[in-house]
Amino acid sequence: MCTEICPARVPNEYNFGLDQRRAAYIEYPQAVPKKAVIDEPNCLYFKSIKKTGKPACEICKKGIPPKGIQGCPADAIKFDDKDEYMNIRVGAVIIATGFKPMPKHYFKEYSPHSPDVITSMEFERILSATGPTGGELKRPSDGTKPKTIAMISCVGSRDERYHPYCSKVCCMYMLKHARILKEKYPDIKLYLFFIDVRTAGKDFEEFYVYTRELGAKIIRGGRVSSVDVKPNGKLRVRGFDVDLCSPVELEADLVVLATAIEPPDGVEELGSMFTATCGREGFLREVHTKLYPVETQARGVFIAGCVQGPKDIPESIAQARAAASATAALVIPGKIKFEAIISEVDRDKCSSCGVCVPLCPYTAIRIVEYKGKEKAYIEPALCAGCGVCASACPSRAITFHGFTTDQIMAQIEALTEA
Amino acid sequence: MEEGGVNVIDLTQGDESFVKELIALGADELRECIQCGKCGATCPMALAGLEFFIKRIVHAANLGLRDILLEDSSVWGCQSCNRCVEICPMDIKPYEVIQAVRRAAVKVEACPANTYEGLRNLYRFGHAVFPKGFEERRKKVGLPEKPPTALSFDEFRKKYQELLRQTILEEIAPFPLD
Repeated sequence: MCTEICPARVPNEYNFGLDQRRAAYIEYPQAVPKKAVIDEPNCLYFKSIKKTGKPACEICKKGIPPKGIQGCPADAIKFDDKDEYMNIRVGAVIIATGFKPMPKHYFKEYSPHSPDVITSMEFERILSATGPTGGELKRPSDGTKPKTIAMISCVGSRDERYHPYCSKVCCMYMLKHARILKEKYPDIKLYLFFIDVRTAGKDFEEFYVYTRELGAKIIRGGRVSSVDVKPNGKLRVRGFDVDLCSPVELEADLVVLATAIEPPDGVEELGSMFTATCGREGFLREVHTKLYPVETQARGVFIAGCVQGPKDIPESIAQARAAASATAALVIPGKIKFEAIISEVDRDKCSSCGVCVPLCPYTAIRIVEYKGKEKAYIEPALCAGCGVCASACPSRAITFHGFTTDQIMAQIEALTEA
Repeated sequence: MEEGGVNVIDLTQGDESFVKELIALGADELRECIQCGKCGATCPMALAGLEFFIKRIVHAANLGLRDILLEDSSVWGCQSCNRCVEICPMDIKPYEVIQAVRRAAVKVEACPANTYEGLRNLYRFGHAVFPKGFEERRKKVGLPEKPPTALSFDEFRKKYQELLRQTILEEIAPFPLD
């Protein structure tokens, strides 16, 4: 109810600003929990309190009685509720922050200023029954139904200027969009520009052939070179068709860019908080691509989904379940096995200089009180046995088990005996 | 061909009704083609250097590029060897696409002149191609003037012409069927 009567309107982030939501809103229809919240910076109540000290609007709570509009019938609106941060002690963490689709403004050659050039995520919302147009296919500029649609793949992916990797899911979702469109509107002209069509895996190639059968036109070898807005408001798409061995041109009403999957904002800071490292592309890195795909360099920190790299839904689910199992295997036994090759502080020797603390890549070293003095302590569950602290300790207070000075000297002697 | 020499193909010309026409004319698996190019690798037309060899024809047909296909004479260069049909992994029968394009071309009289010549010969003599002035030479080596083919049997030829007149040829032949 409140989501319908709130007078404040702001661009709807969930629909990428293609329509507006109220300041009292439910984020999206499938939200869990499906509860309305108040967007404080945009709410007229909070705005007026800030300015004048008096509330100017309480429509969601009280309604508009003269007009017979009722406020929240459950009396669930609490203006004094505050955001809370909670501290929870846990044994393991799974990082699954997902991805961010690349925005279109980078690609000047595709006329991003035109409202009829949209990203696939925006197009997905337009196609959705709960989207900004209620599921009706409309051009964002003038609300007419497009007759010719061009979709362009690899926008920002496989591109050294942006992301050299393949975003993996674009080919399939472009075909999905094509299929939805062709099944719903068989008369629509649909041109899909691919570098090459990557539909690897079970049932995917069949999906591709079926989409072709529906009449979607596939142009390969054709990363589009430019999209220009013509004086009549249509978009001229220029590309190359390797199968026709010819440059091609198309007048389209709507252009959909399959922009790259990017690591989410702030994932590097988040990772470093847990001492999990990012790879070259900014995704969190697993310990080993094949053998430890959900573990990070930090013990007890696992990753799942697109935070590790572009992947589709089945893969994300498989990885999430793997991460959950790895977490359970770590936490449920209630005890933990340490590696034999780890470092240990002889606290009686420790001078409390603290050199080792920032050096440890695994944040395993803390300064704790011991016999009334502050001394270094290495958390054995976190130590990965790299030996950095042992080599740096000026008091030689850290023993690196398995690689003590005596042991190394003995090895050198044995090697140089002959 | 645009002025200035660069030949940009305008996909907007693509006509879905042409694709449907070709499908109705026998290229029924046309849309399944994934342009793997296997047919192009075996096609003698491609080896002979015809501009629109089989793979390009199938793609242009799929895009509904009617004018390009009908203006180019490449489809008439097909030797009907059927290698493409045998080799096609998607079973789209590329040769049937060529035949469909030919059928569509004949309907709008968009064939090269010599195809009409062949058609007329086929109707008149029962052969699309045959050597002329052979009678003397045949006589010299002791053969009957006419070879024992349709040329020798007027009666059968008349019957066969009657059959042809009952086909679509009756409507589209650009010459009198007498």
